[in-house]
Amino acid sequence: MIQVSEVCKRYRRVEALGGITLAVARGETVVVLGPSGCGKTTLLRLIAGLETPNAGEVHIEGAAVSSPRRLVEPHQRRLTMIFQDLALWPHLTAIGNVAFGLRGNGRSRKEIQASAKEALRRVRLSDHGERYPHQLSGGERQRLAIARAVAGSPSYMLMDEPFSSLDPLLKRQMIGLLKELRESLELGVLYVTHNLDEALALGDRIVLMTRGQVVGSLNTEQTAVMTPLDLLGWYEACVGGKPDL
Amino acid sequence: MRLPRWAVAAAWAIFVLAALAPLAQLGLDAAGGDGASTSTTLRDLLLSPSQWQLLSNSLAIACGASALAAAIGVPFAFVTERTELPGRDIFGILYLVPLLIPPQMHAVVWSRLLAENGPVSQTLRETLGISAAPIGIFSIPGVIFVLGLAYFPFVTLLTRAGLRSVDPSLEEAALLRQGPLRSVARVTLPLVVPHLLAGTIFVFVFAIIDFGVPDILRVRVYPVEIFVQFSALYDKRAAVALALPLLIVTLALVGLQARLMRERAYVSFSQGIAGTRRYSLGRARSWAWLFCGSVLGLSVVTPVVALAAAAGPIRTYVEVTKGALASLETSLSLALIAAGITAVAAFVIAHSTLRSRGALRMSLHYLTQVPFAVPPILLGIGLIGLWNRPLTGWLYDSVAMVVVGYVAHFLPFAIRSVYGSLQQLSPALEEAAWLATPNRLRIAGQITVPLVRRGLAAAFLIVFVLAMGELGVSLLVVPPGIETLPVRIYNLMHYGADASVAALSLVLLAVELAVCLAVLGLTHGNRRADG
Amino acid sequence: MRSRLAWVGLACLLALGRSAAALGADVVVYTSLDQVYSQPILEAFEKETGISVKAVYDVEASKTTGLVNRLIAERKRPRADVFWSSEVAQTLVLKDKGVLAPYRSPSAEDIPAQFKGPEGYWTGFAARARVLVYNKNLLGLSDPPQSIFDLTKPRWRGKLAMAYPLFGTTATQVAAWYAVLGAERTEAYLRALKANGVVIVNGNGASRDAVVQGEVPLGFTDTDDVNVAIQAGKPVAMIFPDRDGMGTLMIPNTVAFLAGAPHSQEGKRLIDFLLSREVESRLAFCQSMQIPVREGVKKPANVPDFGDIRAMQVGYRDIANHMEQAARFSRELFAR
Repeated sequence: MIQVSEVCKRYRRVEALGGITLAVARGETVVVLGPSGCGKTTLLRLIAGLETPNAGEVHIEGAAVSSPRRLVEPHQRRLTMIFQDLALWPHLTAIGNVAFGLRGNGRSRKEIQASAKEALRRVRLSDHGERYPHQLSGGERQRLAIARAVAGSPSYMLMDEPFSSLDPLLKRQMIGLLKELRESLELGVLYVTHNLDEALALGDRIVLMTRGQVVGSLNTEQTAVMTPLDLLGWYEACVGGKPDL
Repeated sequence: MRLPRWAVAAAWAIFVLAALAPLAQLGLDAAGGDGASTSTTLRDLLLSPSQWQLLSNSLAIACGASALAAAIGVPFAFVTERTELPGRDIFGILYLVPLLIPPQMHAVVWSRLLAENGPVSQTLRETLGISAAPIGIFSIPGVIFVLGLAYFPFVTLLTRAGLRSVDPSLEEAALLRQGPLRSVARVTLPLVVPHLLAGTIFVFVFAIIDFGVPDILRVRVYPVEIFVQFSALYDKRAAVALALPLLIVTLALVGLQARLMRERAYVSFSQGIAGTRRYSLGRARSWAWLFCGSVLGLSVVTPVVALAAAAGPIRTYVEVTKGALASLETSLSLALIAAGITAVAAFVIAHSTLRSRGALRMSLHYLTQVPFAVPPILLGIGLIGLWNRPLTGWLYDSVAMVVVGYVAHFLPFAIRSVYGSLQQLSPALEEAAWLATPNRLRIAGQITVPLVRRGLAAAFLIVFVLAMGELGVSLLVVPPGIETLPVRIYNLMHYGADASVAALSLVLLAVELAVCLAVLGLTHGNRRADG
Repeated sequence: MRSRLAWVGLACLLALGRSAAALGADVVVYTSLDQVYSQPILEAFEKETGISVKAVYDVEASKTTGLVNRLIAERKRPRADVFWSSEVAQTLVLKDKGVLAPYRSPSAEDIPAQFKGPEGYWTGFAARARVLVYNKNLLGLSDPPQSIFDLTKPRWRGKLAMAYPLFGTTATQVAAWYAVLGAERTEAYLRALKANGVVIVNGNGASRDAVVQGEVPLGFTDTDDVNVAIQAGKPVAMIFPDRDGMGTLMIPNTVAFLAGAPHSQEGKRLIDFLLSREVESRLAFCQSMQIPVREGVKKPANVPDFGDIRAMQVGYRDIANHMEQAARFSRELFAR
């Protein structure tokens, strides 16, 4: 369980996050919905350990990992992140991208290669192992980013608007893939987007953020019965200031 | 992601000890009243009208030379990097040559060629009947001409490194709406502004502290005043005070560059791996050829041919190399070591500066540029004052002192060139790795360095070439019995051994070119096929 | 891996450093006489005595500031034993700054008194003269001016080259004029030269080159600069001006012993060697045609006897005292 408690983050005089509380359990997907600039990316970066909170704490599996005074390093948190622009390493091949993070745990080259190939197989990129990111299509790059992320068997996955530039068909494929991986790895997913369809398709729970604050949340039962139109209405209401359920 | 603390501390320690500490020592000595032979007040010195005149001469030269270098260097970079011009590969190597010939040599060659009764004037007189020399080379425009031609490779080198790393998709997006020229001008050009400005600032700084070239071309400039304090008046305090305007001008420039670049992002998502888009020139091809050809003709062919003509038979080269072998070896090894140390330190310093925030980042940035425009003689005197003590005598007496001198003098240049490349690197690339592994050195070595290798290579080569030609500082700190190549060349020049000087300059050129090609070959490998 | 490389690099540097440090008998000399002339003499000393000579040569591009300022800066922990200069004013400055120590060499006994510092801090030998070089193709034999005061006449408008009088022997010459002619006359003369379009170049070599290439027919320079051109077959010759008047300024080489010299015995031996008749003879025979200040030193025919030259009657201390004044005035006058 990732537990975020009253976390605040300020950049110079701009308050990016003003006291956020939420939780993500293993096996569940929490979608953070909100317009651009509401602080979603900052939240992910704080959870990942790339930034220090000005106030509040983050706990993972009960252990405190982020507080104003203490910051556990990202690689020790057993989580992974997919960046908005994917951050694929352009000078490494697909298999190189996946294998990079696997080295250094005393595993042999063979083991690492095998794990990397397995990760690529999972996302159906087995034939593209020797290609470079710029030689892959948009969808293939997304899949590579996912393969890289899950190769190390993380417990949690943070995703920052990863499917925003995909066409509907591809998007459906990706969401399907994500669900598959989620189940097989028992991933806890924190998924940030401003797209309502994705939110409904993926999310067990939905949290709405604007301007650094949580302004609404929907639990599992509520999301199960919502249609996109309902969601839009709820979104408008919350952002307008009055949650209306 | 920040680099390990011990690495950052070590790199900054190198910078402080090598470059800043001698300046602090100078300041201390000056404040302590050491060196004033008569009681001259600071106010007297700074307000002298003739000194203002000299300062404005130096400023005019620096502005003109850097503008000329940019006017030549930027189009040259674009044409060789982004078009299908036939011969661009050769152009892309030859443009380095002017930098490998000491600027004083350029000045000597042009002053002889364009003198009143030099070959050019005589030919013009015979064919066209003009009685006066075409260009008054012994003038400020003459100095601008020579310095611009000699230093434009700085701009081209850095701009090319930047162009290679620009995200092609940004340009492609623009191409959908506008023609190639506008796309390049409005999208690509602004993206390489950090590199372009860095290169131009180099030229400016060199032009403003250089007085060898103006000296030969009989133009009085500001750095002479500092020399005068040392050679005629022996007033160290006044010399230090006179260096302050140069420092102020440089910091102002650096600040200007920071301001111009502040609101923009230069991050490239492909880091140049995706291959570069090359445009066909169509009808403009012959113009481009003419442009590149003239630039190289003036800046490469002319000096090399003039030097070869002065050198004469092969025998000269053999003789002079035999005599200079020891100093060539010394210079080569010291320059390579200094370039290596400087490149590594510059990388770490630039990286740590970029990863800090706000006010700290600005102050660190300025701090790294403080030693930029210090006249070599002042730096040398500061180094002696700092290191020539019983405790550090072992260092001062060794040849390592020359390396310290090179590092001190050129670290700001290296930092500037690496900084531009690092600015193009998205921090997310390092962060993605940081999420996967704790080994920050591994991340730096396998992720960051390969992606900025062109900027690093440029920094290495710049320091190498400058160190091979460095005179002012090495003269003051070289241990007795050791000789660097520039000392030998200038000694021969004073003696008037034109043939030997020319031959040795060409030998130096060949050696430097070989090293440049080796380094560029190692780092330019765009082995990935275009997708 | 990286740190290992760093240690290897550091070890290399220290090894290099140690190799440059003194092993066995050494002497350290800083010299501003052109390496082409001084190096063979130092090598001869090495051969004769077996003492290894470690030299630092100066470079004209540094405007002779390099070595002198280095010596002053190194005062607290001297590294050099001997200073061998191609002229005299800088040596006097060093004496004033307390960098030198007295040493009266036995080799210098027959050197005339005017070339020896009264307190034994420096000794002069093998002199050059400040002369006018002229282009034989542009001026016939009877045309060249015999006095420097002729140069302000309209006849020579724009036809004279001179090195920037803030550095080198030109600075010394101007200071000598101050000492001999007085401030008023000298300043008037310099203003007149400027008004007459004197071409200011960046050194004696450049002055000679301007004459060799025919840019101007006349130039102020030193005897060694002219001789190099003559030996190379260029159509130039020299005039010793003011034979009937003020005379020609003679500028000797000087050697001085440095205070706190790390190898004082070897240093004194080197000084004795440099001041010997043999060395003065060698300097006369080499292309710099240095003029021996002693009688009877073997020299080639084209080198005049010292006694035949009308030398300017001026004390070197006197010249040194006027250097600063000369520099300040020249700076103002010739700054453009």
